[in-house]
Parts: sequence; C-alpha cells; structure tokens
Amino acid sequence: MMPAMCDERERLIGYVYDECEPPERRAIESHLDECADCRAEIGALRRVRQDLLAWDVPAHEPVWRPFAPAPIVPWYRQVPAWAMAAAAGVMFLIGAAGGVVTHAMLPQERAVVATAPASTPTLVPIGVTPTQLSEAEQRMVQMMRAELNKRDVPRTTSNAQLMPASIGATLTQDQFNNLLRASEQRQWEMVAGVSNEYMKQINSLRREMSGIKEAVALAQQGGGR
Amino acid sequence: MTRTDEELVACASAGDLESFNQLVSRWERPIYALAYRTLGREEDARDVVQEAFLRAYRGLRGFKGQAKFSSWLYRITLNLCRDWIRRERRTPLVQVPEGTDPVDLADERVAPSESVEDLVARRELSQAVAQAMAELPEEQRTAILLKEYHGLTFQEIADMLDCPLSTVKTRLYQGLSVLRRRLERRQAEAASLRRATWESSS
Repeated sequence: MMPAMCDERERLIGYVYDECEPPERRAIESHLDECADCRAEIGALRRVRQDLLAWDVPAHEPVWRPFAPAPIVPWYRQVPAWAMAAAAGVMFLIGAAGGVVTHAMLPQERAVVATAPASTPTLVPIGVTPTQLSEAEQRMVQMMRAELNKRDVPRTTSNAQLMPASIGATLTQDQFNNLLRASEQRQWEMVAGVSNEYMKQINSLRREMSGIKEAVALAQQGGGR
Repeated sequence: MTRTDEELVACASAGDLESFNQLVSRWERPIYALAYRTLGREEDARDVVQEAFLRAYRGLRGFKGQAKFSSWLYRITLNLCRDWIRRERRTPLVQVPEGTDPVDLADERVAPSESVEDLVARRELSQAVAQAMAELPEEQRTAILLKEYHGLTFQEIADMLDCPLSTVKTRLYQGLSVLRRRLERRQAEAASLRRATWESSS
C-alpha cells in the first residue's frame, strides 16, 4: 500500500518540476483532490520557484578572450620538424659524398691539411663512467626544468593578470600557454595544500591515539597494583 | 551549420583552437551564472570561469564523452567553487548591486511597461533570494541552482553530484522549504516596515 503522501512530501517535487512517471503523477493528482494541505504546499513551492526567477546575474563583460587567428606563415615554416631534419641529413650526406669523391680524386699531399693532435684530452674525469655522467646531466636538466617552471609563473599570478585586459583583444598562443601553465601550477598547489591538511589531521589523530594509549596503559598499571 | 558540442570537443582536443573558442562562447554565460550564484562575487566568478575553461582545455583529451560536455563543465566549475570557498574559509557572499538611482534602474526594466516601483521591488526580491540562497547548506543550494537556473534533470544532477536520485529530490524539497520560510518572513518584515514608514509620514 502506498504511504500517505502528506508524510512524504519530497514526492511532490517530481510533480512540481513535472518530472515524474505517469502513474506517480496520477497518484499525486488524486491525492491533491482530497488534501488541502498538500495543495497549499504545491502552491507555496511554485511561488518560491517564481521568486527565484527574480535573482538576476549582473551584466558582465566576457571573461574569456578569443584566440587570435592563426598567423600566416611562409611555406617552409609549415614543413614539420622531422622533414626539415631529414632534408638536413640528406644535404649532409650529399656534402660528405662530395668530400669523399674530392678526396679520392685530389693528390694525396693536398688532402692532408691538418690532423688532430695526438694527445686529445679526455673530458671524462677519472672514476666517472660516461653513463653516470649522462645520468647526472639528465638529473641536472630535470632540476633546471622544474626550477624554470617554478620561476616562469610566480605563485601570485592570477588569470586576470595573464588574460588580455581589453575586451576586443585576442589571446595569443604564448599568452594561452602561460595561462595553462599557471592553471597547472595552481592545481598542484591546491593538491599540495589539501594533502598537507590531511597529513596534519592524521598527525593530530595519531597524537590523540598515542595519548589515549598512554592513559590506558597508566590506568592498567594502576589497576594492577 | 551549427556544430554540436561533441564535434567541437573532438576538433578542439586535436588542437583546433577555433573550435575551443566556439565552446567557450557557447558556455561562458551559463558557467559564469553558476559561478556567480555560487560565490556571490563578480571577481571571484570571473576567476573561476577562466580557470574552469583552462581546466577543461587541459582535460579535453581525457574527456571521452561519458557525460555531456556541459555536465562535465558544470562539474569542473562546482569543484572549483568548492575549493574556492574552502580556501577562502568563508560562506558565499551577497554582493549588493550598486546604485539605486531611478535613472540607473530605468535601464534594467524587463519590459517598457514596468514601473520604477516594480523594478525596485524586483531588485529587493532578487537580493532577498540571493541572501536566502547564500544561507542554505551547500548541497541544497547546488541542487536548486542546477535545477532552477540550468534546467538539469534530477538524473543529471544525481550523476553530477554522485548521489542517488532520491537524495536530489530531498535536497530540492528541503532547500525550497527553507527558502520559502525565509522569503515569507522577509516579505512580512518589508511590509511592516512600509506600513510604519507610511504611518509616520501621514
């Protein structure tokens, strides 16, 4: 048996927003025919909804600046980096092949212009392998990159400072990249802040627990005597 | 032909900034309205909206269309508003609109036939609603905002807030009931104030 509607007025919400199944709607309507209290309740909820319409959002300027149209770039700038690198490689090979041919055709004594000194000093210090050196270098690059990222966007930088101020202005790729970096940094700071809060709470709970344990141990000792 | 959100998202996530421009211009107003009504201050709403779009852009590749783009954007905005309130350690503010000069007000008429008295009454009601909403618990306020001003279905709200559908209905009912009591009390106070002013002047 269906419970009395008057005790479950949340059910009226589906009716007020016209978002209930037809059997539910019929049940509510037949109840409303008999119950003046629920009719009054429906009327009051509808009046509140009407009042809510009065809450305006003040007129405001657009908060986002559209991206600047893509710049017109010369054809050679549109060639992907890998294609440029491949072309450079081909040019290098052609040059090298020319050098080899010239070397083979020219008399021997003219080809020897200069030779590297016999005792080229090694750059690798004694006791350090090239692999270790490469790893150290990678670590240094990572550290520098992290440091640069930190310096790049100061903590206080807000979107308002990075977004072009005038309404008609457009957002360049560089400005957008700065906004993205600032956003990422803020998110990390927020995560760090939340983690810090949790750690504080855990530590405080831990202290409380150890205090309780000590108190229990003392009480047990007292009881034992 | 107007492209759908999903089409624009696909192009934007492939790096087409013009598609992202269109998504922003399509959703900026509702997102701003949600942030403004949640936080109650224009500068805060502005910051949150910009941040919401930046987060959305950064997350576009991860957005697989599990929900509507708008629902996803609303969720990002609500999370940011929640963080904002937590960080500032304060409840939402009610910003008092500047200027009650009838000349200023005349520009705000919704219809040319609206009298200045009606306009003032509407403004007072707007402030009263803002105040009453700011005093609601966050869950009730969010449910009412999403339902009343953004027209989401109960199911969409439940999905967005990760709660059962029945909880959404309960929050709406309780929130509207509290608002009703507060607005009725405020209207009664305003009426007695008007009566007192009228009696003292006559």
